[in-house]
Amino acid sequence: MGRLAAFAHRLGSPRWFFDITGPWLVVLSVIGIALVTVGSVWGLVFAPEDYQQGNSFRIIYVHVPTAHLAEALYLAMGAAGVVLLVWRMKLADMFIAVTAPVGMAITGVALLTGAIWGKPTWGAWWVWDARTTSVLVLFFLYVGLMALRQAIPAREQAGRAVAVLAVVGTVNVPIIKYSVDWWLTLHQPSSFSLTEPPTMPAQMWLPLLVNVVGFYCLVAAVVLAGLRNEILERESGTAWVRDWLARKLRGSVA
Amino acid sequence: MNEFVTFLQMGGHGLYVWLAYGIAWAALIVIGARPILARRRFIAMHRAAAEPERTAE
Repeated sequence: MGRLAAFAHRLGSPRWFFDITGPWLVVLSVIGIALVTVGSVWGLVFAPEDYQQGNSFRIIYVHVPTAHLAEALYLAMGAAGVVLLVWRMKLADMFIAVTAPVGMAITGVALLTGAIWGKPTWGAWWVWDARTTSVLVLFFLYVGLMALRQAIPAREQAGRAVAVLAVVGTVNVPIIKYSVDWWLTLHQPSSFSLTEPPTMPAQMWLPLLVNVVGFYCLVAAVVLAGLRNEILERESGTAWVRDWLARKLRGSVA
Repeated sequence: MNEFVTFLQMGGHGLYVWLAYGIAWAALIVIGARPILARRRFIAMHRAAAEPERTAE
């Protein structure tokens, strides 16, 4: 068996995943908390004012990371949906189940911080333009994934139905991404591009980069922690979870 | 002190900026606390289930 196939095979084992991710969780949480602290203080205190928007532009340091994550989490669920439908990997189903509420919360934050930024900048809390509307659709897709899982009692069928919606819903992500280019919107175009240097001074975009990486680490830690709980619960009858629990209970008594 | 008040006011945008950061930080705390509490609940539930066994021994 090739190395990649062996890796994919082990990923199919929730126990193996649980065993290796304990240390990752600690590292991701520590890095995430440190980066978000540094990025937020930098953005609030040390970044210069925007010459047009004044201080309201500082909302960018929480809005862009959450808006970016809202899309990335949905794409990750779409990929997990494909894995579940094609290879029936249990871990993929658990990933979608754990990520949907996190993604919904993050999308909610992106919408709210966007509205709060819109008021002083556009003069309105909400406008029905292509960007805001497509992100609102994304929010309802997350809600739909959770509702659909609740509505189907059989776990395996629910998982497959949710996976289909996760995969189909990914068509919305490029619509969000290119909405500011395809349509005339109030929303400003991207501040960052992979191919061109930033148009902002470094004192403005560096804290943004720090916060984007920090939010990614924190949300990865949250999803990982949820996934580990989900594994414990779904495998709670197995010998290895009983052993793990016995060690935990003994440890807390001693 | 005055400098700090000026900082909080954010040139008239204070309400918007602090509200946005407050919502973002609160959401991070809530989504971070959920798995920690769920893990504690899971262990506590199994401890409760294991207790009678231990007293019977």
